[in-house]
Amino acid sequence: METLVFQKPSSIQKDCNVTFCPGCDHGVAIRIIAELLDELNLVEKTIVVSSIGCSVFLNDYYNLDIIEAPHGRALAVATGVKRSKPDKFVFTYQGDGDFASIGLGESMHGLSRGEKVTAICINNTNYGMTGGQMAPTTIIGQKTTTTINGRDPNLQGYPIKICEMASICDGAAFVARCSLDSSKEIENTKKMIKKAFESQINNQGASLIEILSTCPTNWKLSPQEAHKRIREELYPVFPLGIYKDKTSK
Amino acid sequence: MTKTAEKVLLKGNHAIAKAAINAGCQCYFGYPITPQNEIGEFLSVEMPARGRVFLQAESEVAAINMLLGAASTGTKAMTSSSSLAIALMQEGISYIAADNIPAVVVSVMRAGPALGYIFPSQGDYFQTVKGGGNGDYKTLTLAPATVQEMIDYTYKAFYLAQKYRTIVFLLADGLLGQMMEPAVLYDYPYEEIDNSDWALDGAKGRPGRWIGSIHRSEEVLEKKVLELFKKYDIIKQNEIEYKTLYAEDAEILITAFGSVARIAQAAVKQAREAGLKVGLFRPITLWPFPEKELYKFATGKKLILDIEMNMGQMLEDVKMSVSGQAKVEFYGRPAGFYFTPEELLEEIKKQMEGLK
Amino acid sequence: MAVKESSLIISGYGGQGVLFIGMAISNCAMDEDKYVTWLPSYGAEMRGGTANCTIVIANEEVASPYQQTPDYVIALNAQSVEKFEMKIKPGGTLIVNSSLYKGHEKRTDINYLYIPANEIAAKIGEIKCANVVMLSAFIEKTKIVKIESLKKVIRNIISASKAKLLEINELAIQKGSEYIKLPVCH
Ligand SMILES: Cc1ncc(C[n+]2csc(CCOP(=O)(O)OP(=O)(O)O)c2C)c(N)n1
Repeated sequence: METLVFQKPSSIQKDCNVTFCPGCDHGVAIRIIAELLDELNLVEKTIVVSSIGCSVFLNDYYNLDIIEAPHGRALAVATGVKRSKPDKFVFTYQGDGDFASIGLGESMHGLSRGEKVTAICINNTNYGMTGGQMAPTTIIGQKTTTTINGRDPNLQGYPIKICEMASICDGAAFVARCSLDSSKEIENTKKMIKKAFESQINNQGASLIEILSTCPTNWKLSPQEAHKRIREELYPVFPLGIYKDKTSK
Repeated sequence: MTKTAEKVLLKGNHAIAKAAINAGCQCYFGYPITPQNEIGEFLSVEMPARGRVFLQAESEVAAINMLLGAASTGTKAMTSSSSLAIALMQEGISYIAADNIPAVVVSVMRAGPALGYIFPSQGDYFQTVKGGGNGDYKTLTLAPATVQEMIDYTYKAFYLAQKYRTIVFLLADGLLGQMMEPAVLYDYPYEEIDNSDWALDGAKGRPGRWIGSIHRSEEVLEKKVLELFKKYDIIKQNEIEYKTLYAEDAEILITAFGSVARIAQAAVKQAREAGLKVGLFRPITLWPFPEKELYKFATGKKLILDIEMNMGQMLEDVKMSVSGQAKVEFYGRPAGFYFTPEELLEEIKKQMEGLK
Repeated sequence: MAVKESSLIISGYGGQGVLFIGMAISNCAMDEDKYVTWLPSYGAEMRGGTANCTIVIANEEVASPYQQTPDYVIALNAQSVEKFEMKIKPGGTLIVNSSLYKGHEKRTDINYLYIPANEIAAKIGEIKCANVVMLSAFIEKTKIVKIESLKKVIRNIISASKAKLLEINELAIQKGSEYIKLPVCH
């Protein structure tokens, strides 16, 4: 285990130039996925669907085949990729706005159709790339640049619970929510993603991993404070855990 | 599978679907809308029967993005739709164009604006040729006029899409989609294009490939757009197609495309029988528009009469091409009122009177 | 060569086989190396319970598959007579299923041809054949295509496995064309 942590996964670009903000969890998620691609021997058969959001520059990090999906359409693009090349390994990498606001239709339909793809959704409770506006996952009371007094359920309604929604899709084989706020949670997240990837390899259906992640810049918190916020404010609204698991059956 | 050189009575929409199968289309994604439903219905049976993909998408937005995904792997793929629903696809179309990937979109026009009705129309010339998506890009557009041409140009659409790694529209209307006419379903006549140097198939023994449209530096983005337009220049040089009838010695030259062109053709013949010097210029590629060719034919004419089933859309390209070399008039109706040759002849005579 | 073009609208209830006989005569025209187009009324128009199609047969490529003023109309029910009687070209012909329409003639500049198609079909034992009876009578009267072509087309469409159905349809063709030859019928 120790050695793995220090070795650079083979699908990470050689002169990888990190453009995420300091303390942002995107980098961690990208890395553990790369480790899993090595572990599961998937690098040479992977096609990644990137999305519009902070993760749009995925090609800066991954030395993989990547297709950029328009904002929200990652599951539709992934459907086209996988249906045309059923023997390839396909995952999307999306923000919560991409997955659950503009792309909710594509997301739910992709999961319901049981597309043999994995969706990774980075939930940072705001629109990171465009400067911290309200996201579908912004929690009640949370201040964003479009809810300056905090999200008010009377005005903006309630946050969308991605995993809870996804879990009712019959085509989904594995759905879990995890976090990157500690090394223990990072380990667990990796386990969850691995299960999701395996469900795709075993043709069991669609899979979704929602990852609670920091956005220190827009949250206006230090990286440590941001992780604390995840534990204290987000856990109660978005409990971690496996929401659906059809893989053992 | 393919019957060679045997004439069969075929519905326009079925002709497209059958030609797509012969052309080797591996994936079809679409969402129901009249007047093109027969394409999806037919392929929902015939694609799976051949181990190929038919998928009814949850929306046209999803359909065009599924097409984007399949196209990125170098797979021959298409979608079909109509007017207001093609409107929903425009963002994806712009992405496909920017990504330099091959895809075929069939548009069977109905009357608009908005919901309008399912009557045939040519109201989406602008939508297709000028594009509703953002940024500098072009869509190669082929406009058939008969059921036979639905086959011919479906084949060509797949070929040109692969050849130039670009999005190609087959632009028909409700009349061409719904009508039946004898046609010959021959084998796909074009060569297959190798796409192994760009298609995504997992980075095996090579560096990863990225297909995307975001570029963070002005220099790079400009370079990408300029490259795109270099490609468009080559398409312009090679692929312009048009037909003429009695165009050389005509005094009045009619311009019309698609199904209207076939009616105009009958009107021109009737006019000639009546001793009137009338000719027809029919663009088949709407983009690239046969600008120079029309300019040449228009020069010295007394009048160019543009006829369309809309309020005057191709008219703008006609005027631009004619560049003041002749007077340009327009005759059109927007809502599925189909012209008869007699009606057009009447209009031609009226215009002739006006010239005296 | 002068353009010779004939246009025909066939109209009736959904289920009367309007589109089917339209395709049958189109196939006849194609087999006789004529130019032909077939255009159905489509979409919501079909949901009112009536269906129609327009057939144009010509010695050159058909200009417009759509015709506002057809030469002929085959009306299989009363609604169709009402819808198209006034649209027929002067000198044209309205072929009426007189089993289902007893109204008065509204025009003096067109011909009327009355075929009790339902009764003839009922006698054969298959009321659904009224459409083929009507078409056969029309073909016999106008000679736009050959009745032999129709027999061949019907034989091609109805597969050999359905021998009984084929027999009935052939009988319908015979009775329909015979009816025209009767001296008393019109
Ligand atoms: C159709 C469309 N609408 C809006 C945008 C602008 N936009 C780019 S990224 C983004 C939000 C991304 O938020 P999220 O998906 O939560 O990802 P994050 O940046 O937070 O990682 C928006 C609205 C766009 N690119 N396309």
